[in-house]
Amino acid sequence: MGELKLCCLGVSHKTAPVSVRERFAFKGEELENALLTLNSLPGIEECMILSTCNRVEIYFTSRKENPFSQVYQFLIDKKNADLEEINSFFYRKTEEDAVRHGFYVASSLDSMIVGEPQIVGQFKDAFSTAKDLGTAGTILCRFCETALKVSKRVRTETGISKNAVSISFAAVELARKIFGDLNGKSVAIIGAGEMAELAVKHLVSNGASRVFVVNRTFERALKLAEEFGGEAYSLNDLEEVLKKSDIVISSTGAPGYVLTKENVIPALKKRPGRPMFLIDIAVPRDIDPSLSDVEGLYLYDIDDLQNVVESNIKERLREAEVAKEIIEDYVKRFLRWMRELELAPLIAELKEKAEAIRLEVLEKRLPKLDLTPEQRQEVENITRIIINKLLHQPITSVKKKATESEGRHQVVQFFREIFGLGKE
Amino acid sequence: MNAKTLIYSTALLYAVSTLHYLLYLVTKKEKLAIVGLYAARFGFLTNLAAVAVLLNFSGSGVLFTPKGAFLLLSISVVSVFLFFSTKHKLSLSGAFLMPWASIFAILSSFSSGIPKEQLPVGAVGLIHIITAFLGYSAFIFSAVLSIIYLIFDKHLRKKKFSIFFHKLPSLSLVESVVYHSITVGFFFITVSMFAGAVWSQKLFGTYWSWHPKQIMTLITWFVYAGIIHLYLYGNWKGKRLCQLSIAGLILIVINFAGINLLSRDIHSFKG
Repeated sequence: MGELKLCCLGVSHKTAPVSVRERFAFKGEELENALLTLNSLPGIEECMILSTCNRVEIYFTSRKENPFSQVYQFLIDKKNADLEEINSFFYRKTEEDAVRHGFYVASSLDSMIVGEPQIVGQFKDAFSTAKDLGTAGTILCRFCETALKVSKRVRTETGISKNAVSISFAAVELARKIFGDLNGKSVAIIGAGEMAELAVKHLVSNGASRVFVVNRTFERALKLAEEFGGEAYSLNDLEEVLKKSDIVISSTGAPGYVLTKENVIPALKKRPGRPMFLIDIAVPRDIDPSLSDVEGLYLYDIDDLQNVVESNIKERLREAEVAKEIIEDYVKRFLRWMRELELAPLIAELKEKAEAIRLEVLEKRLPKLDLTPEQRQEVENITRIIINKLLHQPITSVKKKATESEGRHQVVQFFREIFGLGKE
Repeated sequence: MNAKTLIYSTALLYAVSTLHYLLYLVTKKEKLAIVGLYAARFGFLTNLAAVAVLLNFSGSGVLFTPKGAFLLLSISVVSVFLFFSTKHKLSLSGAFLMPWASIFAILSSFSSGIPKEQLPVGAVGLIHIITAFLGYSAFIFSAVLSIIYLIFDKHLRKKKFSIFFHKLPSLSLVESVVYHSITVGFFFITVSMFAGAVWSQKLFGTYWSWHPKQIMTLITWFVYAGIIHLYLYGNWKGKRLCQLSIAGLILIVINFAGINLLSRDIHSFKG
């Protein structure tokens, strides 16, 4: 029997196309069956499966020399896979690498969009399924709890999920950069369109209180206004609306510019000291680009929003480096805990052995001395203290050596041999 | 501990803070800003101790020497910075403000600190001096933040997604802190002027003596009163407010330099 190892066999968006990932996905009842089958395999002590649309990962612990072969066989049986396929798409990670990978996944460092929050929920679900079925024991429970703790720290201490990575959220982020709090701000949407409507929804849920809907046909305006709880206007009232709007999103199908110096500047003059944020989502563009030079106007078109998103993604990758530093500490701590856990039965055995020797000797020798009960008690105590003091140094030393990554196997082996432990 | 060691440690701590804030500006690593903040906080404490020790050994006359004046200037700049930046998450301003605090502390360590004459300072005098330094520091802070505002605004307009874009909360917040620090500075300068007049009456028997410094301070006072008025009633907000705030500081610097070159009395801070 070898040392207990935490392993991970997985496939993700980084190694395989969706056609492969979906074939290996485990959902609902299939997931539960798979876990139970996997757990019944000889040599696999604990297991858990994380199955999302971007990844399928099997985490398990094993003492086998070659822990993966059984899991390969399991995948071949369950998913009609062939070995070549598994070899080309799956990654195998053990011990330190597996722990680090798991922590990266839970902290959303390995996600397609770094920092996206869904993975935390998915990780939690995978953990609770395995826990409910009893396939996750001491090691995997501690592993998952640590991973979730790390993920929380990463989210609060780094900016990994702070900046917007979609166009509609980028619009909200920009509005915040200009106005600060969006409470009490008003939004106008000119025309219609999925992205524009989504942006309005995000703005409203972030505090914007009034929505004006402007459309060429008043009926459409009415319909959309009802959806947002806003006010409907026809295109003729545009100037009237501009006067009242802090944020304007334009997304019409018009061939020319809808917002020009002629209608925007008079509106801006009616609102002294209050800037306006213009967002042009339309192609061809709705807003005269020369307006971006006007004091008090901030004009962003679709390409600009795309650039915000790209810059934010870069920012997240930079933050991911900070996150990795935080995670490294937890990886070290988890491995130390796991190796100490491995040592626990050995140490218990040593202590039992010492106690047995003590009792045996006392039983033989004490009756010859004819001691009072007080003296007997004192002898008991003295022998205990001698044993504790004698064992203290070897136990702390072996604990220290056993948590180092180099040469710990030999140290543990010597320890066994020197004290005559573990008859295996 | 003697004053010299304290001033050296202050200069060193401010320099460490400056270095970290500047590195933060380049690398965007939040950790560096935190180190910068703590270095500034400890520097504030040694700075305070240095002022106390200096006052204790050389008497209040030391406040009129270059050493004492620079030390007061650095501590008041740092206190205004710590007050506003901690409250509003404006760690970026450290990169623009701590260099000045460092320079003031270093200048103080080189300058002479032997008072020529002992003026009876008293409570009124102390209020006059402290509020003057705090007031000017608030104006310095406001001008520095105005520069940040103008850069931030330019980057937002030119779609340049720099550290200003990523690390500053919002234009409107920076603007409101610019305005807030102007009002704080204005309050202190007003108090300082009244305390100064009372003190002058005690020392020289007159509230007002048409001294160039007094006239320039009064002009400064009117300029800032004007800025506040324009902000409240003239809608001179955002960029205009910031430009005015920078102009106000330039006026103060000219005033300060001019007085020091031209005259040799208690406002010149000469040893």
